Amino acid sequence: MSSEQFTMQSESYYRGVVRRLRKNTYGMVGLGVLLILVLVAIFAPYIAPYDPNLPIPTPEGRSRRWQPPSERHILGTDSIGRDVLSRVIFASRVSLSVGLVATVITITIGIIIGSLAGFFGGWVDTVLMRFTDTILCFPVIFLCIALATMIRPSILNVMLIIGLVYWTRTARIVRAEFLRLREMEFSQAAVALGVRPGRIIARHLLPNAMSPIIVDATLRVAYAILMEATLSFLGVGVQEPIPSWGRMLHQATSISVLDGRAWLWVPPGIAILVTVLSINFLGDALRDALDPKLKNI
Amino acid sequence: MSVAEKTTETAQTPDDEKLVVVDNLVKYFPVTGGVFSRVKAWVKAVDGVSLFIRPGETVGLVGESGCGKTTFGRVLLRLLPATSGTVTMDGKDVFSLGREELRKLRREMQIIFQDPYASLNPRMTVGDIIGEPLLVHGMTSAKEREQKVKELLEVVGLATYHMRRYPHEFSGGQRQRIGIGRALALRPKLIVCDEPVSALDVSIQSQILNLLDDLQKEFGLTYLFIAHDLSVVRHVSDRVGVMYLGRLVEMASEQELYTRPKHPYTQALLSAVPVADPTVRRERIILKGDVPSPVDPPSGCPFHPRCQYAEDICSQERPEWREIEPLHYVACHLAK
Repeated sequence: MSSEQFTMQSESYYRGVVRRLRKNTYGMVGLGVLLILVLVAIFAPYIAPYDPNLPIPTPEGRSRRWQPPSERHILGTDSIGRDVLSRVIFASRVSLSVGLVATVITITIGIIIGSLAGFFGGWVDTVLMRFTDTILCFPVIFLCIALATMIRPSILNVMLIIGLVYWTRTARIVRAEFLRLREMEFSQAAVALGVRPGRIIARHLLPNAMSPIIVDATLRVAYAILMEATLSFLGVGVQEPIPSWGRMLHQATSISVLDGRAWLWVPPGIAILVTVLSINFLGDALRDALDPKLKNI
Repeated sequence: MSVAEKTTETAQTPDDEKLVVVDNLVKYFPVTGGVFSRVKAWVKAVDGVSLFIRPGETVGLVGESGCGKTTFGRVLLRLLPATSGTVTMDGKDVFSLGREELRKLRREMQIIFQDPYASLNPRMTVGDIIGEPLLVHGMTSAKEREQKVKELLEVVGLATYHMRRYPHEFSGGQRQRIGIGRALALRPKLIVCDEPVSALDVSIQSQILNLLDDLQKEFGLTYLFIAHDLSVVRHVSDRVGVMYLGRLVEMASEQELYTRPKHPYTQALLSAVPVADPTVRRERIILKGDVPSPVDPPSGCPFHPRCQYAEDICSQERPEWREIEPLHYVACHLAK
């Protein structure tokens, strides 16, 4: 036996993932930008120069509305004189938390439905997947708007709505992975050893299905942020006076603003763009890093 | 169904001397199609196989790929549901057991797989892989389990420090040893070896075969050894069965089968085994055509379209599974 000549350095699976991820420039840029955004969201009260929800009057008490960018207001002020920079900074809290929580809801529902359908097959699969298909039939945006008009708009409800609408794709991904893994010999071996179904799902199937799920999750975060912006833009999302990037765009929808007051809509638009782009970079990099076949790259 | 008229002729060996008795095992896979997934046809993967295995012996099962030997092994262990037929393991009817009884019986019967790369969970350490059967069958103490895993690693020729490593850090032969350790953990009576060496280099093959042989002596194991390599099967088996298109065509002791094959298919198979002597000139039987589809097997004897001796009866009647000499079974109208 060649065990004596066995010299290869042992490396745990997740250590390899981290090592491969660190070699991906785009991925690391995405991760870095995201970290900065998270820090900004956490420390918003210390970073923002003004209160985001209150108009800033002049010392004489006059309104300071629609001021272009200046030294005092780096990104200018909005229609009632609030500081745009402060609002963009505080809006990151809404966008990032909606993105995160909605994704957790999405992934949880998706994993439960997908793994039950994929593992048990038969009529369980048929019922769950036809239900999924039914939801997939509706355009996501209409479902969200319909749900949002039915319940009171709030951050929490926006998270719930997005989570409850977006899980279908995750469920399909998990199911497809389970169908593949269930036929692999190691799951057959687990059955032959008398391992119970719950443990087979948790220990054998789910860990091996994690790479597509994690990649899907990062993309879900971007979708959720965009959907929150869309809902808020349409006026059925986060309500006044809480700032969100989508709401800020919504408030900038008039010809005079679009034409002459670019400082009102360019900053939140760029914020959305940068956030979504960096998450997608990270997602792409994770997909490559999680593939153990790229071990030596 | 045409398989119904067949009965086993295993009466010569009393039942209490048999560990496994398989009676008329049938496994059909549905072929679905069309808008409403109607069943269009059936793939007759295993079509009425009967055999028995005595404690401590190795029964080899050979046949071309697609002849149903792997399916037979899986159905035997109830990893796939059978279409009909019975399997008796140690006096218990495997197919009628409830979920918990079946789980208990799984301690007695294990499987070693062909592909050492697919048969180990890549996200579990070797210690977890070999320890899992112990855990799920009640050995909850982590210390006890670790002790046992270390013993098993040594038994299969690996080092105890390997238990913290992951499968991808091992070679094919080492992985197969891990798979054997896992199958051995519950001290089973029967191990189905599903082509355990066909994915390995020839030099590693003999190591694994010797290991299986040693383990059989040490633990009194019984093997059902499924393979397509005739010389490997001859090397390890006490008795050998030959499968063709889902059916057993011949079964006899290794010595008998390899020296005096009765079935034309067995004769053809054996004539294809290369001999390590270039001066030996042999009569080779070259079979015509391909193996027919198991969806629509030929009537009567499934081998008749390719058989050089075929007569009218061969295409009309399914040959009986006869014991033409003690423990030499053959399904052929013409064999004497």
